[in-house]
Amino acid sequence: MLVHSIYYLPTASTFTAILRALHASSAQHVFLAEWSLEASSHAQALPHLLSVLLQSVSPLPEGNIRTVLTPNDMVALAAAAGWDLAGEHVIRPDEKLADGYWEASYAQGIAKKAAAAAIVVPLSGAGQDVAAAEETRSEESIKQASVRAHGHALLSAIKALPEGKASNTRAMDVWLAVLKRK
Amino acid sequence: MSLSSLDPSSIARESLTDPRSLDTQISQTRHRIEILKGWAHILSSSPDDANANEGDNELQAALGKCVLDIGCGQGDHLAATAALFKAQAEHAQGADKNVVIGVDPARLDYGTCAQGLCLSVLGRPWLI
Repeated sequence: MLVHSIYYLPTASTFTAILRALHASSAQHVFLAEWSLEASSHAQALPHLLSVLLQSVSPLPEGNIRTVLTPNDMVALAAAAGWDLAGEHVIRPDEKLADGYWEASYAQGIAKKAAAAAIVVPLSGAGQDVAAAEETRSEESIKQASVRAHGHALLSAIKALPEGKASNTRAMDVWLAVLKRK
Repeated sequence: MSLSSLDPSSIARESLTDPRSLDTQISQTRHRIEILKGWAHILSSSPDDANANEGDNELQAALGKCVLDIGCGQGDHLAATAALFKAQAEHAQGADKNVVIGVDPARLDYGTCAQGLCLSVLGRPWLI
């Protein structure tokens, strides 16, 4: 079983490698539990979801989130490793489960740092034609914009919580699945 | 076999070495029991049945005799699974002992209870 451990993996191919190794063993079932990336069932879970998305773009060095996979990704990777989906289910955690608050606290730091840093506008693109501006579009500039946008959304979502406190973040829904050999 | 009989407080107490964070540990343990119940729900042969023990037997069969917890961290799910196995063994007297093994590349001082868990009386959780 892999229970809230999938986001810690260094890459998606590690997930595939684990599932292949399990398929080569005598294991008959694999049990999965990971965050669903759904906050629709509770507005107070939105900071948790945004914290995960922010860290998927800008991981913390010692953070919990390194590789964010969607439930569909996990099912597809499992199928390629020889496992069928026996069934899936989504549960809403108890309001006392602190994981949403923990992640929001960690990610808040990234968001505040991004908001405090001056936005970098490449000089070569400013006031020139569109073709020149396109040339300044880089992986780094795209990442910077994404971190700032996710960070802004996170800080706004925390502000909208009761008393505006990150400690009132709820954990998002959890996706559960059982896999069986093909 | 009785997922509904698992008590988060007693499992948390047995697996935790730092009593200051007991409330947090109880919430984590309750969540792990809900995950086990969710898997039982998936495997249940009669999922529309509003039975408290829904899917218990199917989960027991699917878990088998040896469970590997990959990325067990501080062992929260090990403790819940070991408690389930212990409840099963008490229900079916003389049944074979089941084993749950946790593996994690993290340092052993990660979290608060993994080392305590190795020594606990909850079934036979092993940490590698």
